[in-house]
Amino acid sequence: MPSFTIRDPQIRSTGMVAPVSVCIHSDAEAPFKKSGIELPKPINTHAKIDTGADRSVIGSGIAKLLGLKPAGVCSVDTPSSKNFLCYEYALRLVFPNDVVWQGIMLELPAAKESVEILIGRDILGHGALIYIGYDNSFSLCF
Amino acid sequence: MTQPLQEEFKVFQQMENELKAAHPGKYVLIKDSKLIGTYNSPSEAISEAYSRFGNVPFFIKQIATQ
Repeated sequence: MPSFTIRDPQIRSTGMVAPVSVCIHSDAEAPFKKSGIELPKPINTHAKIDTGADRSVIGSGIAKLLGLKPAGVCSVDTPSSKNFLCYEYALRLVFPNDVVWQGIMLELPAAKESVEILIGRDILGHGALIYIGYDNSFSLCF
Repeated sequence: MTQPLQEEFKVFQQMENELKAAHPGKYVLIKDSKLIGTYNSPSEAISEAYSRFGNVPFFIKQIATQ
């Protein structure tokens, strides 16, 4: 089971942040090729790992840049509204050392498009996360 | 223009109690107001959806357990 480790002297202030490439789901590649459309290029961004979040989310720019179509709808309560409908998308996250997770993630709409990603317990529940404070590092595997 | 998956979401909400009783914890795939199937994992549902429909909107949701 491959794993990756990030060592960051600023980890206490910035939190656990890992570089990640966001790609279309592997099962989406065949339909793209069949229709003669070039596969969207992966988006290189960063993922913040948050054990306090029960749900992982992607910024509103990611689905648009990858040409993704929604794979679900979720009702979300925000500070300003209840039962706000947000879309979910199937995609693949490729972390360092070829650590891969793929599945469905929630898109949080925002006034400003972003390619940020938050990894919460729904994704972490499929792997193992180790945080070593005195080493300023964390490791993650799936 | 209607937003995608509004109809599928309504169908899911209408069938939710029936799905909870028959397929708790499984993943449902709904397309164009039709229940396509239930699956043991999101991967199976996603694979079926892309293979059957291609890169178009489809609705996958985990059915709550009782």
